[in-house]
Amino acid sequence: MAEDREILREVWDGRVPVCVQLASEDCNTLSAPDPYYLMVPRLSYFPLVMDKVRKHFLRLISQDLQEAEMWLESDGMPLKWHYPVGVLFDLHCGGASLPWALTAHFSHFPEQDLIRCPTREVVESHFMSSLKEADGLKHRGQIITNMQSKDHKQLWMGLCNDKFDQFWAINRKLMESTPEEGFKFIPFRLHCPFQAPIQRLIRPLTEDGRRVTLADLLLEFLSVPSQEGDRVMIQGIEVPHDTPLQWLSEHLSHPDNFLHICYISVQS
Amino acid sequence: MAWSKSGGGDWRQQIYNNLRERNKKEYENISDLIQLHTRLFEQSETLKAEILQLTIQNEKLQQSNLQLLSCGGGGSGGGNGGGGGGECGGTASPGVVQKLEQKIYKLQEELTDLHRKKSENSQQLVELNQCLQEREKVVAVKDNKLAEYESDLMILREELANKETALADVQAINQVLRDEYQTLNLAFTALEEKYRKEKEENRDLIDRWMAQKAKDAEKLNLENDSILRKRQMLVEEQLKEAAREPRQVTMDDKFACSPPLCLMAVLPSKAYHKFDAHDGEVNSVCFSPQGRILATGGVDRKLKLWDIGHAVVEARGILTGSNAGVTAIDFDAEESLILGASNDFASRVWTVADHRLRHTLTGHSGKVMAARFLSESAKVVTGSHDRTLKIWDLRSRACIRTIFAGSSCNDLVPSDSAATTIISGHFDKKIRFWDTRTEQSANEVSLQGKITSLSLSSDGFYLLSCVRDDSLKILDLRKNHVIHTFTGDGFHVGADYTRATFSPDATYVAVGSGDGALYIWNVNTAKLEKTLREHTSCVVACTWHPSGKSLVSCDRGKKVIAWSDF
Repeated sequence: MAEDREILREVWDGRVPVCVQLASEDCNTLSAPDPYYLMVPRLSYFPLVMDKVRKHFLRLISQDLQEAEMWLESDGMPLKWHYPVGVLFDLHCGGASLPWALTAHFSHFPEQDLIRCPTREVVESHFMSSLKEADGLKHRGQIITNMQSKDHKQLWMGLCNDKFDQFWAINRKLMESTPEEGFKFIPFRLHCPFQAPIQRLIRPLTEDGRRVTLADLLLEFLSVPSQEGDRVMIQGIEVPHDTPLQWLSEHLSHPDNFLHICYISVQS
Repeated sequence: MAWSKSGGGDWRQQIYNNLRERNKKEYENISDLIQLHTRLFEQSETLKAEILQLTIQNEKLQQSNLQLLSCGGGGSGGGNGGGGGGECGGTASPGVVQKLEQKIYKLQEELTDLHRKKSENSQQLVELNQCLQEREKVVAVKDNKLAEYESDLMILREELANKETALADVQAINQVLRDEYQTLNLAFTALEEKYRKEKEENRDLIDRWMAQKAKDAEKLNLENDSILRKRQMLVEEQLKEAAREPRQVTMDDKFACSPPLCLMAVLPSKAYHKFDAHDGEVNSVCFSPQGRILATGGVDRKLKLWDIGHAVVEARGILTGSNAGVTAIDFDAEESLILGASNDFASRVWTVADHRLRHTLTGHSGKVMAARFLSESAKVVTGSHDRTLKIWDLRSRACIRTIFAGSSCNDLVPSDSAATTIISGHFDKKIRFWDTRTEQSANEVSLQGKITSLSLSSDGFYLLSCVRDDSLKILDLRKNHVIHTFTGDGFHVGADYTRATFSPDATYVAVGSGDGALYIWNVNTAKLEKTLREHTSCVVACTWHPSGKSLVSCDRGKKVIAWSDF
């Protein structure tokens, strides 16, 4: 198994400091409310970690908004809850200023930009469908379909409760591959700011047996020619471009088994 | 693994370092700060909550204090004074204060007790009120029910009144019926009495009748004996004669049986029998072919057989079965059957010997006016008011042919011995000739009045018809031409079915008149030979004895008269 626990552990431990402010229009108190600071795992999703924040702010908003759904915004951009926290951080903040300043809203839900997320089950089903899609690309979906539903549950609970061992005990099966061929295709998503993510088919090996690297991927799928100063972030770090995709997929993938690559051009 | 090991080295190390750096920068550096913040935040939260609780507690305490103060102020006005005194007295009377406090305490307890009791009482009051309301509801329900029952009662009373009136009616009716029943019962007993008497009388009569019968039988026996003796004597005489005269005389038996020959018909001049034949009109009269029996038919529905060859007229039998008056009679050639046509639309055949009804020929839809045997005795022809003639076969007892004549038939005769032609006289003044072998009417002759009767001469050449214009006409059948017409002063055809007749030798014709006279014309001279007046009512029919020696006529007044020249 291509298990590099050192790397995996570091990736798993990645956390982002977040400072959540209540939007002034929703605030019901005279004095400005206190912001809420917290550490959020990069691999998690916002709806799973914002319960405390919501509870904190509920005291400060008017009665008729008590049942409303809370949504987050970073620097005027609504955050899509179905992206992992790390990806959102890399795309919107990029580590420019820490902690990451977010604004919580309870009103004016941006219907055209966001999907509603009423319960954790919605996140779970989204996560599981991503997982299945990724396995479909890697192994034609055979491994995930052969798993029992208790294993599915264990994956999800491992992610929810931030249990590395619990999660990887199952996830390692999904990462299995033959040393000669690797995965069928590499499941990846290339995120560019203000654009829909790019997702294409790419094999870990070229036809002449050469290992496909990150550079090959960027060359093939990046719509704009890369410029000096552009950054390509995976899990919040710039990865050497000669790293093989198979290795990246195995180690730097998010729990949904996708390799989320963030391309941040220098202009933005 | 191949992937990491082979390329391994620098990029992996670089990634690792980057990750470490990232974590250091984003996580480890700030984590403490955040944790601290969180802790502080939580602490502040808990402190806030504590403060809140404390303020609440404080407020509560303040309130209770205030209450106590006010209580103390109101309850112990003197206490204040006492307090003043206490101030003066200083600590000298803490016991009093304590007592007072205890008192207050007790009073408060009492107060609370009272409050409790009051609350209990009010609770009870509420419960009782509820109880009362429930009761009221129940009472209301009961009231409603009572009202319903009262209305029901009213309805039932009305019904009862109705029923009582109905009952009274029924009783009245019953009374009436009972009275009727009693009267009827009385009538019934009276009738029963009468019935019993009648029965006795009947028995008496039967006894007498039986006695009479026995006498009759005795007489008959005597007569039979005498006849037997006579016959024996006759036989002896004949034997003697035969013994005396050896000359053989052949007596043809057939000759004896054949109809008596008529050499010359006598001109009747005197009535030698006059008797009441029927109850009412006598419609028809007919001699048997050998002349031994006279048959008469009347409106009393009977056909009677007579023997008029002796000094007294002897009844030979009564043929019953007809449901209406008998209109026409005919014997068959062998004299074994007798045919009677009737107004009940049927014709009947009896046997002469035992007087039993053999056939009833039904099928006409009008009165049957004429009926004749055809020469073969198994066939009968009838003519009816329903404007048809029917031919019947007695063997199959069925109508074998229906002739639609077009007018009601008053009389008919079969023309000759073979009976191939049937001649019928009709209401529409026509005599029609029918060939039994073909379907069509063979011929017809028109006269001046309704045809009431037809009679054929014994040679079959001449046809006598009685016409309602008070005349008799003789047709020569060979020429279909009227050769004689007989009329007379006072002669008047009295009925639609007045029968005229040829004498057996065709010398005379006889017919009855409506005034009761009997007219006889000579055919050869065409002169009125005789007018016989003895009948008192319209003479309907007359017939000549086959031997020509006597004439019999009948009228509407029960009478039958036999005429002869002596």
